[in-house]
Amino acid sequence: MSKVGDQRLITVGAGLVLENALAGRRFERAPFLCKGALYATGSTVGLLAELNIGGRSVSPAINVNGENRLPIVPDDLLFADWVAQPNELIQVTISNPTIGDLDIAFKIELEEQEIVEG
Amino acid sequence: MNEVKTKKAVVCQRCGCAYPPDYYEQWGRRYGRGLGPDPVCEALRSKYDRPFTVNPNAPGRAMFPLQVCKGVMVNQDVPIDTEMMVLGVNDRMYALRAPIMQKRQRAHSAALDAHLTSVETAAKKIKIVNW
Repeated sequence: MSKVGDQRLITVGAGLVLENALAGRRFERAPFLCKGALYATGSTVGLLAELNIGGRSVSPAINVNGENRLPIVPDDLLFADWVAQPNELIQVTISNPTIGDLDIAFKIELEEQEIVEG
Repeated sequence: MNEVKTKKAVVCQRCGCAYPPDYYEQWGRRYGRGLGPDPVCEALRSKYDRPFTVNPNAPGRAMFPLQVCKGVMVNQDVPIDTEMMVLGVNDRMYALRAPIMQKRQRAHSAALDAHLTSVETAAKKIKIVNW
């Protein structure tokens, strides 16, 4: 079973909300039935991340750590074992309620799942 | 000979910022929330390797992204008049530290200074027209 993913470093301006950090990226939509994991780190503390899959809320906005690095597996795990149906939108919303501009590095991993009938 | 009065502090070996001596004991509570298990410097630095961002709602709020220093901390005696850093726990939204960092960034980067100067000039012109 294949495993695919994406990793990005984005600057989020002070007081701004990035509606979907995966917009326009290869895995904005789930390519197959998959189980996913999201990892994230901020350049410093203060950022909030929220995950919605196909309109279903996986989490409310929660704090991201301020480790200032690219995400390390499994240390920087935010949410794991969520399921996305084929072609469902994966929406990672990042908000920065602080007065300073901050960077967020996040990584998404999608693992293909098999449907067993019988 | 005059003796320099000193006090105990925890000092960053990267940026030289001084913190109160209970830095290790209070790590994760009073200091370094969200910065992992090991005590490191929680001071802010500017990321000059990234482009500065302009806030579309407030063009005068342009700045380079901030990052945490994460330097190694050591116990050290510092002169008694050394100022302690603004603590993250007292400034969660960077209201105190962000303006200081922006001022430093402006002095460091000619491009940012040019942008902010143009914004200020435009704002002055608008004020004159309104008046």
